[in-house]
Amino acid sequence: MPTVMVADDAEFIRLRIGRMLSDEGYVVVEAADGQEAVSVYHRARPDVVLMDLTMPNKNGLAALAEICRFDPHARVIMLTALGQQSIMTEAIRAGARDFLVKPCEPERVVHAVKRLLEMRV
Amino acid sequence: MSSTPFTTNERWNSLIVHGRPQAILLKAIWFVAYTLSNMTKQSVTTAHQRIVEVPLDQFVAHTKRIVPDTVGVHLMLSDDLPGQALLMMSRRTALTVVDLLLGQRIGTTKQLGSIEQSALGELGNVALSSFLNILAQPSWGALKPSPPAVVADPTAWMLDFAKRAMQDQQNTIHIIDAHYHAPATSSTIQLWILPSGISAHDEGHLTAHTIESS
Repeated sequence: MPTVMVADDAEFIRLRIGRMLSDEGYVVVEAADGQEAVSVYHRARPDVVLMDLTMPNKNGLAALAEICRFDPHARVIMLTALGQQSIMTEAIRAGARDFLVKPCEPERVVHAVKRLLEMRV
Repeated sequence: MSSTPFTTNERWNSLIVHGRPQAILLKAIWFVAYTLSNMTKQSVTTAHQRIVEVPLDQFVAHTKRIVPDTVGVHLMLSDDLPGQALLMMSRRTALTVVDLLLGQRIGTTKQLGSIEQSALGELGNVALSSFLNILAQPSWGALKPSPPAVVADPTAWMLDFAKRAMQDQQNTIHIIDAHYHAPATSSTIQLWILPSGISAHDEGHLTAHTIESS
């Protein structure tokens, strides 16, 4: 089964989304900040990344840019409460494939992951 | 901590004019209720909102209105729209909110451990982000909060805040004070946003401008 990385400093989000994705049959790996997200990506090479934006050590946009430099085919979905145009534009420019604004229904997260896995990149 | 002289912030001064909130600020306050409803899956309404201008020497007395056993979630606003935010609720409400966020039966959570505090932090993060999403204007750039921190004693945090405001040579503290109510669980959540850089409106006098509820 595909591997999904959940990168979020909120333990609550990692637990909630991780559990939901596990129930769908995905292998879930976690990162608690941006720096760890880059390290885990190098090590685990997940098929999809769910990336928060506001995180300590390295924010989600910086981690996204670093991951996409390392792997231009990386499939990264930004999952953040900040639904501002300038942030969305910056994320898409940095290589994000999708952008979900919290709060959002868990089904939407699963749907976005499935959709991205079906896309050719 | 080093002293930084008070400087005005044009953005806050365009949102609060002569102590009155502008329409977009009201919309942002009300949008938080919508976000809280979405997160907790219950109807949350804005019960009360106002902007209070408190002389610094009266701020300590003002903080005594915070009842004991209150749990807070603190976030800082970025330099583009500087300030601090504090989401406050009684311990009973905090336990109820955690149950709702975790999809559990109300009464399940008895303690605020690591995962429970993380859930409250996420509530604060999403609530404040939704507030900033409404205020963000294309020419302003991104408005971002800091990662949240759960504060066991909000009063102590406020005293520290007042000390820093004194060092920064502020004469008054403005408080955007909003109360959100969920009738189904009789829960109230209070949001304080403490903007930095608002020009004093009525220096030397306590003025409270109460604005109509939604």
